[in-house]
Amino acid sequence: MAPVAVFQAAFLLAWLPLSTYQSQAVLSEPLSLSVHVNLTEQSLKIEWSVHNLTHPELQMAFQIEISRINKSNVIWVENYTTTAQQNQTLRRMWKSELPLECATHFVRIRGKDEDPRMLQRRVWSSWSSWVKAEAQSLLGPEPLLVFPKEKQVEEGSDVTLCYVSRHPQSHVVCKLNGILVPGEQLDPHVSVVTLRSISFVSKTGSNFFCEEDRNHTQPGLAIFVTKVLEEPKGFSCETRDLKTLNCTWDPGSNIDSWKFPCQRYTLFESFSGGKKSCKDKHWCSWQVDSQETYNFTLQAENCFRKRNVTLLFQLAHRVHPMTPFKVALKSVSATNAILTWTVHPLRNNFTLLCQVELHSEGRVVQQHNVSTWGNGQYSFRGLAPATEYTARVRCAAAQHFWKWSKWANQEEFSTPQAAPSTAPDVWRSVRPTLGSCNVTLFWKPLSRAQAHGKIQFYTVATERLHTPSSSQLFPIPAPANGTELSLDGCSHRIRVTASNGAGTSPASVMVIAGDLGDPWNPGNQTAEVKEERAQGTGDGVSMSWKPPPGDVLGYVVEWCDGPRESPCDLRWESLGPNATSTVIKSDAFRPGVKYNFRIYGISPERMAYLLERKTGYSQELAPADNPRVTVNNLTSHSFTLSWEDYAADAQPGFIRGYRVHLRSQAEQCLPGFTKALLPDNTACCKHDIDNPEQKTFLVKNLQPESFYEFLVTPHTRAGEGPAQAFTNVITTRDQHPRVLIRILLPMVFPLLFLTILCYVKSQWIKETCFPDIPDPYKSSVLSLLKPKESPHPSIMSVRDCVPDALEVVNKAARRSLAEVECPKHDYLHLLPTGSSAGPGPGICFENLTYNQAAPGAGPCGPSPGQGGLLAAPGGLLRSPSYVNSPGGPPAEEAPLNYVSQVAPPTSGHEDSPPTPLLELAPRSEYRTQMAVPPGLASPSPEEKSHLCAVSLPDAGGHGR
Amino acid sequence: MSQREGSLDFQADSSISPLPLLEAKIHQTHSLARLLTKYAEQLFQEYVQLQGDPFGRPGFSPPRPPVAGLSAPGAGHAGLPLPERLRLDAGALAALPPLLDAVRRLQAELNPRTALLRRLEEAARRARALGAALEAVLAALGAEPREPRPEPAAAAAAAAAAAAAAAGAFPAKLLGLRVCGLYRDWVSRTEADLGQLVPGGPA
Repeated sequence: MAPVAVFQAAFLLAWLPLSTYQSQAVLSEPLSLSVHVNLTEQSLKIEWSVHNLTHPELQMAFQIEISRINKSNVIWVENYTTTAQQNQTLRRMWKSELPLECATHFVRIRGKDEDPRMLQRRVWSSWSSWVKAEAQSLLGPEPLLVFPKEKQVEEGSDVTLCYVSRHPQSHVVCKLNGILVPGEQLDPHVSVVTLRSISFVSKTGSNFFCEEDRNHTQPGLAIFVTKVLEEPKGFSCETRDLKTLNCTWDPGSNIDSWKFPCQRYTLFESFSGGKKSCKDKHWCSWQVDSQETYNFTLQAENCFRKRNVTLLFQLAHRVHPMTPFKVALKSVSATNAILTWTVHPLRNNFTLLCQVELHSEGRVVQQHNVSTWGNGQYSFRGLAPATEYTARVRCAAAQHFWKWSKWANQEEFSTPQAAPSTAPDVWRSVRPTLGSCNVTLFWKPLSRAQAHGKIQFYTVATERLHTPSSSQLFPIPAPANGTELSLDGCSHRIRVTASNGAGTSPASVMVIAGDLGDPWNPGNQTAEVKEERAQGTGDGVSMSWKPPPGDVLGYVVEWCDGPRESPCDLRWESLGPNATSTVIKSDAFRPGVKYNFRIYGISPERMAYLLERKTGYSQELAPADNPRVTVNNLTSHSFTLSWEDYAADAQPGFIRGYRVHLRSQAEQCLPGFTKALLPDNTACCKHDIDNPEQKTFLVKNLQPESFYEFLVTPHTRAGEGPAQAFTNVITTRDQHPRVLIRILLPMVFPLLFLTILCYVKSQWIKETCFPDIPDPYKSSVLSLLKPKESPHPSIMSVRDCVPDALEVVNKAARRSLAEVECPKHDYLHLLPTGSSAGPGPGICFENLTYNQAAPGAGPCGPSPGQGGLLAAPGGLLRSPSYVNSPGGPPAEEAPLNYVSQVAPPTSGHEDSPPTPLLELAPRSEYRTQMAVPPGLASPSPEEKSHLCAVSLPDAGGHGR
Repeated sequence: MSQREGSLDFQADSSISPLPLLEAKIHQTHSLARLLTKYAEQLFQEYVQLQGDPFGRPGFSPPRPPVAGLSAPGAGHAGLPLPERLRLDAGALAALPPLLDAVRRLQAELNPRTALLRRLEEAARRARALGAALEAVLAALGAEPREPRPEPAAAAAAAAAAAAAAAGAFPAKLLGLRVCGLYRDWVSRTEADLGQLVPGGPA
């Protein structure tokens, strides 16, 4: 077995290389590789050839590597496939971004066959040797060089530049358009400058230059920047003769550099496959044949890019006819004219639509469309006689409108004259005199549309109403607008006509009646018509009137164009029979000037009679001045303002009222006044008077001796009078205190005398009738005692006394009302006891002063102070308490011998005069100190019982 | 204008005394030089404005190498005898027109359809006229004619323009700047030199 194994191994060793050779077609390296430097285009031209091909032609792939500065720095790898032939020289071009002068480049190549006929595995050949491409040896001796020499780029792109310095230690500064740009050092001698997104500056290029500090050289280059190509706008084609198409477009802001102009436009037509290079960048022409539909593509192109726009259209839809010619007018009459013209011939039966216009006085008066395919004409009708016209014509395609042609030359012509078509507008002024009548006639010149030519003269014919045969004619040459006639009597019919070279107008007829009189004469009919106000409209005066009951042919409104005072410049306006209002306008109207209007009706007999009188302003103004105000009736509280002499009619507007302004020291306005602000923003009070006829005003409710300021301003619809200075006024001193003093003083002194007299008399009466009762509490002895020992140490308290007996004595002789009511309380008799240190054996007190009804009370009656005592609850009703003290016998049963007559408590009446002191007498009688109103002098039994019932609990309380 | 400026034949009328004629000729030539000085300054300013930055900047002063055998008026020009100065002026004025024409051709690529081309053309004509007038003054003064150039000025100017064009647009602009500057300097110098001949002028 061993020999067999050895054989097998030897066979395999021999077969493997053979099989390998058969499956891999190893290409020998490309030969004759050469590299050429093109500095103008900054490119390397690479050339090589392939030998030993297995076939005469073979599909092959090549790989090219390019290194910069050194061979290991590969900057570009390109695969290239082509069909190679034996010994054929193959070429590739490579453009360098970096200027080739600034770096050495190396190129090598390898290849492999890609032919589908080859079954072997495809393997790259070995690389060729590096081939050096060096441009630096071509450089001159200059110490500093900048590359490339010049450059053309598109705006927004990046540009790579470089400079070579012979002296590595020198400092180089580079600028673009004066702006410093940094460089990046590539090797000790070479630096690279990259300009990012460069901008267009000018057609003459941007200047880049470098400076070296060593020798101050300034090499540079110009960079020509081209704007980015725009798409053409407004691409359009049209024909004027159906023989040539003219295509136009807007190239936009495509700016080519002057040194490298590479912008061009090309027109392609897809249906015919035609192409045309356009000589102009705005338009291009195209010859038309029988083709009806066109699909154009306009291609804009520059050194960097292309732009296309397309246009598809029918030829017949793009017809822009040429301007018509041979335009003429014929058969011109007063109202008609015929315009003729010729158009440039197009194809047979190609209909044009022509537009004719007729101008007069700078505006279009007629416009018509006419279809035609050759010679055209149009007849103008309704022309005005004696008028200058201008006619013109233009044409467009009738079926598919595209554009109008230019207007043909304008033809000017004039129509001849004709007789005036309208009667003159005539008005009159009649002034009767003794036996005759002066009539002034006025008429308005006819308008051009009415005159139909130049008016040469007017004719006035007059005839007496009752003798028509007595007619007179007065020819008046133009341009007169009136005449004055002196007629025999005032009853005439007057006819006025206007005549030009072609004839006479219809007559304007008016009748003057003798009894009508002069409307300007105030003593006549005018005075019977009341004047009314008319409303101004700003530029005129509006008025209306009531139509008369009878028929009218029309109305005439007459007025004077000047102010009232100036001589009358008579104006009138004729209106139709249906008019009942109008707005009179006149250039002579001025704001603030009052005008008077008279409205006449024209009767069927052509007589004018006055209907209404109006007065008004075209525009009212605010009053120019304020009234001169006088102050009358000045008092301490009022004064009267008066402006009677104010001429309201002379103001530039209807006075609608007055406003009284008042200023004073007081903050509040007077009644009837309201606060207001003046134009100078100062505050005041105002009062409006709405009646323009009221020219006085009473200012009242004023303070005496006070300072007031007032101003009276009128107001119209347009506003208020001027804000002038206020007038001062000071009210007088008040008169009332003096009056009062005069009245009151004589009254006060007698009253005072009487009062003193009464007082003296009352003292006397008091001393006489009811002297003061001594009050033990007010004894001066009390002040010597110590107050702490007892509140009433010197007064004997009733509770401290043990009465031995209480005797009540009824005395019928001195019975009072109280005594009738409570007889048992009237007299208390305190009987002496053994321990008692009382005075006498029996005491009776009586105080007649405290009983009004008591007999012998005296003429003066109770004093006010005494009355107050009666009202005190503890004053009147406490006296029985002494009687009803607990443990005591009933008053009516026990004999009373002594009662301590203390003054009643004066709680709540400290200010009351002291209660009259009890007067101690050997036998006194006591009466209840009670003031009874007169009404109660005879109380009812119920009231009596009530009084008693009330007194009991109180007495009990008090007795404790 | 060139015909009028160049036809300064002051010997046309032999009956007139030659001295006043010479004086008038000098005066006329001096006036022409003064006028051209103003035009030359305008041309220079217009030129630098059209070339873009940095040509219009005051600090921009590129090196000024000799141009086609025409150098700037030297620093010692004022110290030379007047006839020598006038001869130098006449030589420079003779060399300038072809240079100005060359610049015009270069600018036709860089700034077509501008008034600069017309001004360059006018400048060349005016330089010729002034040069001819100056030669006439020199002849009338009896000065020796200037030495003929070994190389025609036109050919030298064309060579300079071709070299600048080949170097690129920036060198072409620099050449124009240099030529316009020389034109301005030599016309101004000629005006100053002729001023010394004008009665009442600087000595």
